[in-house]
Amino acid sequence: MNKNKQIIQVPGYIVNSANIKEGFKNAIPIMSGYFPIAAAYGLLAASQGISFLETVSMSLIVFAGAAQFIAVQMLSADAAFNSIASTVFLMNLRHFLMSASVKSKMGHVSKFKFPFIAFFVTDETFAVSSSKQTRIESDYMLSLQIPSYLSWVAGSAAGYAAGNFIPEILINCMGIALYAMFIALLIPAVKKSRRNGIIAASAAILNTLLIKTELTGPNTSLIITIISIPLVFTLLSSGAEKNAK
Amino acid sequence: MQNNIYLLILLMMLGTYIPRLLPFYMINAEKIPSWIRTYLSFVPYSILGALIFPGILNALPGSPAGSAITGAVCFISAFLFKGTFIPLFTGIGTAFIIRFFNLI
Repeated sequence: MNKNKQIIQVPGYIVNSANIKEGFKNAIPIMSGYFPIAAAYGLLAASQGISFLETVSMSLIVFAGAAQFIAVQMLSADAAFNSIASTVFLMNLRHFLMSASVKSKMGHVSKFKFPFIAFFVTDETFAVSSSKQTRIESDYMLSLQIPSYLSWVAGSAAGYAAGNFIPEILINCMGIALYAMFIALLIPAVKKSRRNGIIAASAAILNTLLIKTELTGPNTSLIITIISIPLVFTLLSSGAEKNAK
Repeated sequence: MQNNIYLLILLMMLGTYIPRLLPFYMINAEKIPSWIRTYLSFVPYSILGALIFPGILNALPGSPAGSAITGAVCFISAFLFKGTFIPLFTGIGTAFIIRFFNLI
């Protein structure tokens, strides 16, 4: 059975240039979306005194949009590494579901390609690939993901470099970039379902209360909030389902 | 700044790569229990909410009112326009105007 599949794969491989072309084509909107955001990340990192090499390494090695902004913000607030890493981990747990969905839509893929395809899974490459009606081929996936990745890395470097030419007064305004990005990620989800907005608002209120009442430090409050709020809403929604039945 | 930033990058890489990689090696990755799915789908919005507040009120250090106005502009433009680009630049633009003219 397995052997049969591999024999079929060999001729398939030669025809796959169509997959590669389609992947590149679909990558263009993602690339043009990533570049300016990555540039904002690079600029923000520059304004927080992180080195060029560290900034670009983070894009090269981590490759996670919002998480990188979070890391820079928490670094500038002198947060402990373990609380930054656990926030990033929780933030990126959503990729677990995306990877699972990508994998289920893929045919037989060599085990050597999985680590690469998995590394490049992002919200955007997931969304584009999952809108495809047909099965996802690994060549398509990689030629969608790799240009997107390169655009992200290049944008980070360009943004950092631009920091040298941009007047200081403008760099001082970069603090808002991060929040603009978070807001721009959140609002489309709120438009899709009001519940997402209620969840975000509850988290905002709990986090603000914990910090303002000085019950916890800002990093502990973040961890408490992002673990407990989804749990509360999961319980609420399963309760609502039971009532409906 | 504490320690070596590359240690943090490594930790972040693990925290990002493991959730991306695991499902590819799980046989029944599609059959994750629905309550876990629900829970995971709520996490990003909680994180975004908690990251925006109260931090945004200090986006322009020393100017809570300026920060609030800039934040409101970001919210409005994110409602009006798709994508991250326009909210990003209207936000930076508003912050710049407030700072440049020393408004608030």
